[in-house]
Amino acid sequence: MSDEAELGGDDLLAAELALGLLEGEELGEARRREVEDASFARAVDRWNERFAPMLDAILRNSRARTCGIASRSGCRITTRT
Amino acid sequence: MSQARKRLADALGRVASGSESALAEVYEHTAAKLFGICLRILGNRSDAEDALQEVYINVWSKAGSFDAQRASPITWLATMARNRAIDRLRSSGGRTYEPVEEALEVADTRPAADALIEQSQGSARLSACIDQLDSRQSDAIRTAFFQGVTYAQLATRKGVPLATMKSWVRRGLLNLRECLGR
Repeated sequence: MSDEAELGGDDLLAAELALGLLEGEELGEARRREVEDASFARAVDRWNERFAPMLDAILRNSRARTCGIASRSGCRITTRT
Repeated sequence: MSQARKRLADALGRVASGSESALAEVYEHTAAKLFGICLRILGNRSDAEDALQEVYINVWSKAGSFDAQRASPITWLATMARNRAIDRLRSSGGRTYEPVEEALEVADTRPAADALIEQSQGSARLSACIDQLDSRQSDAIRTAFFQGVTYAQLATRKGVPLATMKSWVRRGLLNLRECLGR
């Protein structure tokens, strides 16, 4: 897997953190880097931007629905009848 | 930067300075979308409502860390919703419902229309790039994203060694990055 390490390095680690693949020590280390290393944090942001359309895709073609008015007590979702 | 994106970024800036009305504005424009994300990941309405509440509590306390130069506001919020939902999912030991149908019932028509158009173009592009991956790679990436499972859990589920799973996912991520353009 040396080619992956060479090609990816920090940017792959950023992707792994963004996806949530890491655990234990690796996760702790990656989170620490995210706080302390601005370029690593930007790499994590870039991956979040890359993945974000997956979140968008799940909502497409869906029906209109209102979500109540702003309230700190949570969203009141109306049920369609 | 689109108008909607700018408005949302401005509102987050005001939340960071302690404006409750700005938080209400952010909520009004994003709650339906973020609820849909929580519901898709958690698979049931009541957990999704709890997660959504936690998301806006996080928004209130973490708006100061939002940097409009670095991230788009809707992505920042959507990522926070996804991460919050996944934390709940992990702490409850997995979900018990199949979520897809119900998640599709939720929508977001009002908010940030131009931002959403921007995103749906990104969405088509990402789908195309994921579809051209080896199916083992794309399955692993999608599963990790929506279910918050780790390398070790993915390997166990697929019955392959951890190193094999890491290799699939990393190759998939590199291909994805290449396809999307850096």
